[in-house]
Amino acid sequence: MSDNLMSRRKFLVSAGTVAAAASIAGIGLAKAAPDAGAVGTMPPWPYPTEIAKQPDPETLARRAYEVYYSSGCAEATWWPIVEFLAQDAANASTWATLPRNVFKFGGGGVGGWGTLCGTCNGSAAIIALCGGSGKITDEIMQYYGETPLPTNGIDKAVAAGWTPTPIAPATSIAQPLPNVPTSTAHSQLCHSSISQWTMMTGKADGGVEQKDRCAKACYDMVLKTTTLLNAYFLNKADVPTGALDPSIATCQVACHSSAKGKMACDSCHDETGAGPHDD
Amino acid sequence: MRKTHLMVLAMVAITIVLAVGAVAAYAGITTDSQKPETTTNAVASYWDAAAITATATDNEGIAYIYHRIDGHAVRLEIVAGQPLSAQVNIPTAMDTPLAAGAHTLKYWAQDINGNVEAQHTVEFEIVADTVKPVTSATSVSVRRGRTATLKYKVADADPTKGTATVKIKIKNRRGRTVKTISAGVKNVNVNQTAKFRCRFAKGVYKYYVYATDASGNKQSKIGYAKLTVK
Repeated sequence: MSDNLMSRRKFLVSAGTVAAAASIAGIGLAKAAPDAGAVGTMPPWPYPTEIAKQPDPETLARRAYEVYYSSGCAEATWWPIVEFLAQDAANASTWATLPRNVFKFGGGGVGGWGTLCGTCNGSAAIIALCGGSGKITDEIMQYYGETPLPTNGIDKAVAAGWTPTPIAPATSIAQPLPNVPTSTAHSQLCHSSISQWTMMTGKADGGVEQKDRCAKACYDMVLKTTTLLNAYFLNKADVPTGALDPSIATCQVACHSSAKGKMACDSCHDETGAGPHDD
Repeated sequence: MRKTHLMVLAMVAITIVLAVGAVAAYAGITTDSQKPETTTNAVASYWDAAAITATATDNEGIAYIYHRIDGHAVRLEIVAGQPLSAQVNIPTAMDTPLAAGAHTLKYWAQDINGNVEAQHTVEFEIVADTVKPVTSATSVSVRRGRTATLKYKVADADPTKGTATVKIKIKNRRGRTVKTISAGVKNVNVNQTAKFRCRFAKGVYKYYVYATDASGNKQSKIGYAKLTVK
């Protein structure tokens, strides 16, 4: 597969064409911005609705593991699906217009800020780009927060003989560590997830084991996202119906009827449940 | 043999070693989907400190046992040797010391093939007795040379372990101790007696009742009464 769908040359030609057109029309680029959709196609973009044309979740999940080591978690969750969909000639004006590493910013909870986990970020972006139901996003977010990760599902791929391939310019890539400890983040935040994991394992953030954990989380999230999208686009009635964390209903009923969000309240707030409290 | 040939041979050897290692590391992973099962011997209530043993069992082998107390950090026990059954004593040295009160323990295990058990929850309470007992005594009389029966009571409010170690001191008018009786471990909150052959000179004495309850709390008030020797 191509690692960079839009070449530098193609980009410069496109940019030059747009600039020339704007100049000829006598309008500035700033003024042209609102009409930028005219040079591309606004999402939602196509996703295969036939089984034969749909991506194999396992293949993309393995690719996610590889991409993680070159571009981080958000890109690893986003790029394998983009890369697959871009191969279809019919997607030349949509998926194929996306360059690699757009989602590199999302690594480490956005530039290392520890906010939204990059795997959630990348998955949610893909779901939105192809017009998937918001319920799929909910399901993905819940899956990340409430599943013991990494699932070590990638061990089965390794047992079957698969070995990850480094992405250029890298010449080597870490092999998955077998059967590592798992942890349930009960949060979608990078900070909470990794802090819990480091406290439990005693391993350092940024170390080999932490990278292994996150690379496998990318595998798990792409596997889940692709599986859900495949099912949804085969039959749009196949929408996940998973419930949100019970603490949300409890807190909203008790006090915070206007509270914003779908994250488990008790992932950050100690005091949950019925009855008055100070905050 | 050329240098390049040696390098190729070395790479092939390394690949074979890695492949064999991978097969060994992942033996059973594709066929084993059975999750381990963990149980504990936890009871509802503990005096002073909890001592819980979690036992995990699995058909292929245990890799990790996890536990979490009161929502604090998850603690990980790495099990060596892939045994079919493994135990961990909770709380471990990693856990924050548990204060008296209600606690929640979550526990689960992971087998050697990556199967993770659903979390179990058990509630328990640690009861700490910090209430000091109070003693009381009743005035008695005895003929010199006969058996004297001292009457006393150790009151120990809940939470109590039900017993106290009792010592009785008998003092003369000047306040000098003329006899000490080690009554031993006695039930609290019931009337008790202590007997001895009284060879004291006729007169009025006082006996004082000291008690240390089973949690080590000494009496807050020393009960005393008259012993009249006729």
